Amino acid sequence: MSKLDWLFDRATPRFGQMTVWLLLLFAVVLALSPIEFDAGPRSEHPATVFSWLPASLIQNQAIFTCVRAGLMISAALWALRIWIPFSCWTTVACFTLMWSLRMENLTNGAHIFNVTNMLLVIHAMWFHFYRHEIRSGIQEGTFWTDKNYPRWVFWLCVFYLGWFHSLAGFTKLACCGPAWGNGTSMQLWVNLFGWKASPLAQVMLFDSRLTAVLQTGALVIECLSIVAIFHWALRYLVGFGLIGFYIGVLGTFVTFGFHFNAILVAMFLLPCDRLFGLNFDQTESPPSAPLSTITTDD
Amino acid sequence: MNRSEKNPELELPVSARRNGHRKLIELLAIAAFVVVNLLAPIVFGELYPFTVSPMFSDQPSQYCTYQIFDSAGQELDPEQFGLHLVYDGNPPGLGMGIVPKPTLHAFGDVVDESTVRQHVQQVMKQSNVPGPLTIKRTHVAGGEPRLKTTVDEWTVAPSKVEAKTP
Repeated sequence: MSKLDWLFDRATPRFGQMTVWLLLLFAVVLALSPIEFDAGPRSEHPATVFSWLPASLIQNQAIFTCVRAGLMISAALWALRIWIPFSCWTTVACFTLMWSLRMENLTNGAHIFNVTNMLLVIHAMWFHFYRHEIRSGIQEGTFWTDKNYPRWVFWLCVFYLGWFHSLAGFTKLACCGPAWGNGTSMQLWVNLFGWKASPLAQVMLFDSRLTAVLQTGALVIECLSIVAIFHWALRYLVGFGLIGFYIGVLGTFVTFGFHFNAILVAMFLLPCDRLFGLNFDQTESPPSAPLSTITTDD
Repeated sequence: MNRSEKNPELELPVSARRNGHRKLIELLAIAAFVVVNLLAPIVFGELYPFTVSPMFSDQPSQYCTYQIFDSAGQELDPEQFGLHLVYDGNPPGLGMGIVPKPTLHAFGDVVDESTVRQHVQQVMKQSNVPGPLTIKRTHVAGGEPRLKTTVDEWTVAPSKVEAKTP
C-alpha cells in the first residue's frame, strides 16, 4: 500500500472547494433548464441506469419537478457544506436522475453532462471520506487552512477526463479506423450544424486537406488524453491540446453545449492547479482533527 | 512476554490503525471508481452516466436536406412526411429512451428521386394531404478541396408524378 501513499498526500481545500462550487453551478444550470418530452415508443435498449424504472414514473412531469427541486436544495446545502455527506450524495443522485430523465424522454441528446456527473461523484467521495475533518474545520474556523484535500480526488478527476476523451478517440478508431480524419466528414458536419460565419468554420470549409490535418490532430489528442494521468507535464500537454480542440468545437458548433466539459478540462488539465496554489504535502491527518477522536461520532 | 511484544502492529496507536483502515477503504473506493469507469462503457456501451463518447464517430461522405412546400408555397414539416433527420452527430437512437419516428432520411444516405417520390406519395395518400407538393432536396457531397452542393426540386402530386426541374 505504501506505493500508493502519494494518493493520500493532502493540500488545503481551496482548489477542491472551488471545483465543487463550479460543479454545483452546473447542476443548478441543469436544474433550471427546460425539458421537452418527445413522443414515441420507448426504446428496447436501456438508455440510462434508471431505465428499469416504470415508464409511468420516467414520463411523469411531477417526478421531474420533484427531482429538479431536490437537486436545487441539495446543491445549495452542499455548497454551504451543510448536512454533508448526505447533501453531497443527494446532489449526485438527483443530478444523475435529472439528466437520465431527459435522455429517457428524448430521441436525440449530447454527452454534455457525463463529465460533470462523474466529477460530482468524485467530490462526493471526498466529502464522504473526509467529512470529520471538514466538519471539524468548519466548527473551528480552520477549514481553509487545514490539509483536507487528498491528491486522489484531483487524480481521479484527471483520470476521468482523460478516459472520457480517449474513449471518444477509440470509438472513432473502432468505427472508421485512422482514416476517420479525412477532412470531408468534418466539412459536412460544419456545413450542416456549424456556425458557418465563424473564422474557423471558414477555414475548415475552405480546404478539406487542411481540415483533414485538424481532424486527425483532434483524433490523436483524444486518443492520447489518458496519458495525462502519468505526469504533470503530460497533463498540461494534453490539456493544451484538448483546449485547442474545444476552442475549435465551441467556436464552430456553438449550440452543442460542450462549454461545461471545456471548463472542467481547463480546470484540471491546464496549470490552474498552480494558479490556485494547489500544493500536496505528505500529511497523514490534520492536527485539528485526529482520527482517533473523530471516528466515534459517526 | 505479553501479546503486544509478539505482534508489533498491536503497539501502533489506535489512530494509526484506524487511519490505515480508512486508507484501505478509500483505496477500494478509488479502485472501484476506476474499474467501473474503465469497464462499464465497454460492457454496457451507452448507458448514462457511462458513455463511449460516440459523437461524430461516423464518416459521412455526403448528406442531404429536404424542404417540403404546399401548393401555396407554405413550408411544411418534413417529419409529417417521414423525411426528417434524426441525427445530431450521435448514432440515431443510441443511449436515448424514445425511438424516433421512422424516416427515409438517414444522415449520409441520399436516396434516389423515385424512392422519395413514392415515399411522399404514399404518405400523402395515407394522410389525405392535398397536392401537389414541392420537394426541394439539397445534396451536399465531399469534394477536393471543397464541398459540392446540388439542389433538386420535384413536384409530387397525390395521384401522378410530374417532374418540374431535374
